[in-house]
Amino acid sequence: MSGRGGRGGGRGGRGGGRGGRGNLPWDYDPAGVQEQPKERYPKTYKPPRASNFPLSASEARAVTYFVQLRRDFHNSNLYTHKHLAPDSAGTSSNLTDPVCRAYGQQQANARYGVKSKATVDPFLSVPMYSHKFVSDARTLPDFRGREVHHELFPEDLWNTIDGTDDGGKAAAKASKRKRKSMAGAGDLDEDDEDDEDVVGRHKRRGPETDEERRRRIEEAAHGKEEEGDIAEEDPEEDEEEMSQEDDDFEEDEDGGDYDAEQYFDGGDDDYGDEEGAGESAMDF
Amino acid sequence: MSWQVTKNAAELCVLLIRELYGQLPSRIFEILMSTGRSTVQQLGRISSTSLRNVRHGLAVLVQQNLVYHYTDSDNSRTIYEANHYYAYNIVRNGKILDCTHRNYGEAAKRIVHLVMASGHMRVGSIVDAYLKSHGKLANNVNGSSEPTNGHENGDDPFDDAAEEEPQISGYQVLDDIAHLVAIGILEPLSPKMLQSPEDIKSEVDKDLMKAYPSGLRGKQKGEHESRVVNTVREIRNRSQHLKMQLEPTYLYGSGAKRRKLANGDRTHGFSAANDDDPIEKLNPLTNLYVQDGILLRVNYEKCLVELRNQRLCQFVDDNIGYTTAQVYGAMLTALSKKLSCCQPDPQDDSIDPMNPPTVTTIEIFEYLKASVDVFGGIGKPSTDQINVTSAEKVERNPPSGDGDGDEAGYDAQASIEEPDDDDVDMEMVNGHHLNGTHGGDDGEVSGQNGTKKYEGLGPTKAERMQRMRQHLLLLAESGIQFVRHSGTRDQGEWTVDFEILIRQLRFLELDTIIEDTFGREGLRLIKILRAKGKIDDKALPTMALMQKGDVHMKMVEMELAGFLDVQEVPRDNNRVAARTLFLWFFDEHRTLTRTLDNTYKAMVRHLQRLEVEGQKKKNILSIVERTDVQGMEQEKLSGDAFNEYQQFLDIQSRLLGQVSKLDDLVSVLRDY
Repeated sequence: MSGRGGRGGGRGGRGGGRGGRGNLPWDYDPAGVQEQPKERYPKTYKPPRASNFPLSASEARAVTYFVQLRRDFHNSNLYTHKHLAPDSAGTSSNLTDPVCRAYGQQQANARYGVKSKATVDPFLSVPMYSHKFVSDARTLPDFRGREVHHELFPEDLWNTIDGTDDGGKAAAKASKRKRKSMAGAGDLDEDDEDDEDVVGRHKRRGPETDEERRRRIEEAAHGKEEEGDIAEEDPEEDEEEMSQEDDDFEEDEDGGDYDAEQYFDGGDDDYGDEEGAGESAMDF
Repeated sequence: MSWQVTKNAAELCVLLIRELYGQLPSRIFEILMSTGRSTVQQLGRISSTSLRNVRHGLAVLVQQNLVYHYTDSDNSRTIYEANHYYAYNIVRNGKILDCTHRNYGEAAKRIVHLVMASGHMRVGSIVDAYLKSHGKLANNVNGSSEPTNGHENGDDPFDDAAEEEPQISGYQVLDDIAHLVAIGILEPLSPKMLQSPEDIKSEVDKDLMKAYPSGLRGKQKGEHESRVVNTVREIRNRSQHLKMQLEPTYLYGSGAKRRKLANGDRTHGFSAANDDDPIEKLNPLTNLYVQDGILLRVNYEKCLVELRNQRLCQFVDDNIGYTTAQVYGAMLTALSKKLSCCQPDPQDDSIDPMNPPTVTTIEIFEYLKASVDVFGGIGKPSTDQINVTSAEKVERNPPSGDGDGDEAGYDAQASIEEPDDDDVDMEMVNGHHLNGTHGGDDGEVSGQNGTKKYEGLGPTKAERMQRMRQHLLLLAESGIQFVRHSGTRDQGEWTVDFEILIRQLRFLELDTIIEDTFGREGLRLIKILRAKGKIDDKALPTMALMQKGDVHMKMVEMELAGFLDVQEVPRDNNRVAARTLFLWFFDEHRTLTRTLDNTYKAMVRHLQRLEVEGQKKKNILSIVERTDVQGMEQEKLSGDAFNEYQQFLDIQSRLLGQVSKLDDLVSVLRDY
């Protein structure tokens, strides 16, 4: 008895068995589907045209305002240009197609071209008069000379918004030796000197009160103001940055065979170094 | 505020950020969306970019309120989390600016624009930036690129005043800012607001748990829960303090009066001749509350309320008529003073769903624009043609849930209210009775609006108000419940049951989609299913008055598209098809989510298309972006280049326009 019921269930369930199909008058019949190739867009389908539905006055205004807002932000220092990989950079041309699918992070990153000496267009890079009107393609937002409110940002980012975030490179160089001697050099945080600094300080203190935090925020904001002038009159920092991002060969920068200074250091490359090198091959 | 983030929605948010804020933040946001909460190090590893990049991207995102961050006090690690709510709202920026411009004037729009462009801003720097940009504008050609010329009423005196008067004082800007804060379009920003609600809750939870070192038991649990909820709400309401302090002056008191005089677009077209005086008087008040150091950002929840008002006005315009829509607009403006968001938090028990905020006829009248001719747009049937009792019926309670149950409740209510109605009855018929009974009110009203001038010229204020009241009654009477006449205080109290109204609007939008996709028969079948619930397959053809075959074909078509579903109920153990009931039904929730997802996808496609078009016209756009060309394209570009640029602008406005139309749909289906 129970066996029969079970079998029936298997047959009668919707889509459960082919046998049940004949009994359902409305069932979708795949046999009726034409297998001939079809026009991609059937002639009978007339898509609505945008010109038949013009924007109303208020919608048009909304679009204008959006465009204005966009232009304002694009002219500010925080905008990072799209900077898609240029066609000439030897990458396949479909990378510049903004809609193309990227599989894996590497391909996704490859879409954003590298801005370095190697990718400069030799025909346009000669300084020209008109260049003074062209804003440089920015790959990193620039917080310098901007009013920032430290209390809104986590401490991780304070160096960044103060404009003193150089990827921990300077600090890394200075404390290289110290770092090598430290145990657990493989730890991920290691590559990030300034973070570590903050964290370390914080840990020593233990949980701080709100007031302490506020004072620290104020200190940071104050210190930033003082530093601000110095930072601003330091235009070569940009250039340095540029040269650091020079090209992929700079992987040799530390730990490479031809780096005489480092030659006798043992050439061990911990994770931090790798990251430091990866820095130079930054992918934009 | 909470909605499902599908793949398409996530993609949309990323594209929007890329469009507005650039490549780096969008990449970081993309990873945050796909991996969830992460630290800087994790982000660096996943994105395989340098930590410096990650940090810079995150800094921009924090600046624009697009991520939540939370620093654990124990191990001082900072975790970042994508704030998709803010990211999606980027698409509404243009609409919000338009809405602000229309309702609160050019100055307000410019302030909101500034705040939007930099995410959050200190009051002091808003004033500075405003004065700077205003000075620039004044020197410039008089608003050449400003689209304000096509302004609907064209008689926006405030606009003109701002353009002609080169020196605008910082006080005035401060005053405008204070007004926007009082309305709620700008909100003070505190570090707590950049933490995700879950984090705030868990932190409060942890804090309060310290009181129970040995854990919770029995009764304590409920106690603890309610304390957590209360503390969380208190934290959330902290940002409301400033608004509450400003509200009495700007929304109800002298500030409101003066503002209306100055703005002119809402009242009776008076220009702000003696404008300076009240400002000087007001300044100390403003300065007291709005200090330089307060951080402000745009409050999208409130903006959404304003956009909803606009949409509902449009809805009335389509259904009843232009004049009535204007009256409805005035009513919604008056009502939205008391609303802070579209979908109130169900946990928040300060809002009672049975007693939504109401407005009185007199309040509404204050907000009615002078340009609206209330005497038109409504027919004049003779007295005996009106069933006054039913027209003036007062419904004190919101109708219960479904549309079906309404009529029964209706009649019961009407019969209870019978004695009251007789009075109103008389008033309604000859209208002028009111003059006598409410003389005091009258005087006050005319004082507030400053329209004494009108007396003797045209229809009196009382007549106008009476006519306006009839528009409201018309709205209350229509099949769609636009307003509910909820009381008789001050010549009538009115309210809107938004939930029910929006549901109807939602169905309307869905119906349009269904009709476009499946034709009228499909719509008819779905309407039947919606009215009747689940229907047996055999009963359907007779009910729809259609051929059996046609019905089946349509139903399968709609089932394949995911609008319908079928449930099988076997009548005995043998589950043969002949002995099984097949019940068709329409799943509202699923249809909504599917439609939403498709809409996101369409928006994504449009934005991608915009990018492709930008690529195609790369050369011309790179010229246009030059600092010497920007703003004066027509003079600087050669004829061909300019034409090409115009073409691009045309395509861009079509694409962005379509995106914003799609967003209208999303708002109706999800947010309102």
